[in-house]
Amino acid sequence: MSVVLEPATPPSGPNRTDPSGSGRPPGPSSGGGSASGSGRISGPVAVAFLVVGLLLVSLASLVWGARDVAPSAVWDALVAPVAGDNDHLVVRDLRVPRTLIGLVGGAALGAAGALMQGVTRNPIADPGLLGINAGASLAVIVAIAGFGIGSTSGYLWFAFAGAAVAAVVVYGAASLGWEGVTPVKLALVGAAFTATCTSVITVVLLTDTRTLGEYRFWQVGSLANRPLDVLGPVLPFVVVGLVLALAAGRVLNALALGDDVARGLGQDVVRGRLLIVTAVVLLCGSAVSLVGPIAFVGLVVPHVARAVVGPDYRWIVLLSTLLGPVLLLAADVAGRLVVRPSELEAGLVVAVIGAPVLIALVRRSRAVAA
Amino acid sequence: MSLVADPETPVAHLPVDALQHHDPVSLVARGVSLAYDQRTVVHGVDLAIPAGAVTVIVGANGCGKSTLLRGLGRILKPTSGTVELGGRDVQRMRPREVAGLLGLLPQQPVAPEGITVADLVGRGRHPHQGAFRRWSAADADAVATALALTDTQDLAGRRVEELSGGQRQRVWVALMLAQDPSIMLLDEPTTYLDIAHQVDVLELLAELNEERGTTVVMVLHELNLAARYADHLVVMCEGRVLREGAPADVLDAACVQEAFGLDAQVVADPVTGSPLVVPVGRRAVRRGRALDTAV
Repeated sequence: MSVVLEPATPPSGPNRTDPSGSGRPPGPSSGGGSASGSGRISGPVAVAFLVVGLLLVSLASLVWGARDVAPSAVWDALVAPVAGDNDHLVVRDLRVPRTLIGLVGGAALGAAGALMQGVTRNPIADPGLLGINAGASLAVIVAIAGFGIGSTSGYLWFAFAGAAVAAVVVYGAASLGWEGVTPVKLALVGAAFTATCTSVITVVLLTDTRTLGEYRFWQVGSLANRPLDVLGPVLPFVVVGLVLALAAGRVLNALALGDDVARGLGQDVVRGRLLIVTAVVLLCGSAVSLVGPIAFVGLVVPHVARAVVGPDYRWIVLLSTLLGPVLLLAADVAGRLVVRPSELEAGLVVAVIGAPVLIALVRRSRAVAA
Repeated sequence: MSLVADPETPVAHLPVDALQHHDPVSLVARGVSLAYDQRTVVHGVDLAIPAGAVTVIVGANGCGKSTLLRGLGRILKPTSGTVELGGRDVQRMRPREVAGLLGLLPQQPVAPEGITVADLVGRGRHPHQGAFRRWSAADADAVATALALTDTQDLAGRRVEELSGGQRQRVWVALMLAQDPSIMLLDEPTTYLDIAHQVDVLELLAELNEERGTTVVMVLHELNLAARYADHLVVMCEGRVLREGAPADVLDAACVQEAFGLDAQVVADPVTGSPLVVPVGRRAVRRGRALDTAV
């Protein structure tokens, strides 16, 4: 993507400007303002690390699985496939699709999580908070129970439509009242909507075992058995969502100071929130359609990003976009390796990997605060 | 720091800076009513803020002074009447345009966890930046100047949550300075500060007003400090302006009685001669401690 990021903030130790006005504060090496503070890494360095990380997990995802394929065979499969070669078949038909879906889905979840935590000023917000996952899940239930649809590509548009309807309903209900949308109302209405959808889903599943059988595999969240053709229709939404997300960094920086300060700084708070929620809907709707309701990626990833680069949302969003797919793909690969030749769904493994990370971060920030 | 301003000591000369020196901009409320939901808090207030001066708004709790400040700062839209900035209705101006002329510091603003002083002050440059515009040299200079003017440059790399209340308030003022407005609105900038730090923050604001011609409008609770630092004092009562003018003309026992329902004597401040409000208090009278001159 062609987004130019504003690097850093002002120099961390500017002295008085000299009277001519030409005296620049210290150069970039000492001036990585966003990296100031102890134990932080500067944004560009973190991005470089994550890009390397992305390449490594992508390679691992192509190589490892129920059947290991040598890296050289992976390369051959990609550039000069031989028909009838089992390794090549596995790589091209199974591993490449799940890797690409993991990359796109993970990026969408990571970015959406960062936006949600920023817009609600709520550190435990995840992309599911707006009721988007619940709406998508209910729509998938309708697809299975009502229309007898049984494939991921069949669920795709149901999940997307469910996510969109949920977002419109929740945002609309939260904007009732004289002061318009507030973070607290957004979170409360989202929670109420989620509870409603969940109870309807439970009623259907309790009375319809066939639907239960289909639904529980979708609901766990997985990268497996998703054909590559589910990616095409979703990709434009993800791209638009990511562009909006990366542009929203400075809006989130203003909103993080509170509504009044943000308004005082000339930020149109209502328009800013609408922009961000639109990006969340596009990203989260795409992700839930692709990989199922894996909200946990969106919860953990922004916390890691914040611990690494500090509170500047321009960097938090970018790092979350890169870290999301690293976590999701790593979880997917780990899930393939732990119970070979069977596998664990990525949605389960993410929680197992992510929860300890989250707890460690919370403990650390407590220690700093105390 | 001395609590008593020595009139003989010249104000420390501030460094030549990267911020603009604005021409004074007028800020006028015409028949402004403000409401939260159905509850009207400010009723048809007419008020002209003198450009280039320090205006202090005082009044009892719930009299609508903070609400009026929010209305003046375009945070709250009037239910009737207009607020005019430089002769134009602020509701018809773009938010960014308003932010270029007018900065606002709410009561007890909250800094994001872990943010450094320099980063926080840098966020004051928001109205000067576009969605994908890079951090510019002008931004860096503005922040450096803002830190220097508020004497917080030594804190630049520190985290805001590590600072004392007084330092923190200076940093928020620096953020507003980096925004580079012609008018600064502050809602109780001295809340929760001890007396020495209250004076410190008010001295800073008075200095900025004097040196840079910045128009300062603030809500204060402390009447005596308000009388000391205000060029123009606005006393509010039940959503209306009760009196306004020079503190010596405005603040008398009748005014305090009407605005606060408090028996008080108003004497001359021994340092500056500005009005000094001394509450009488029931206990003092009952115990016979009040002198004969007491009401």
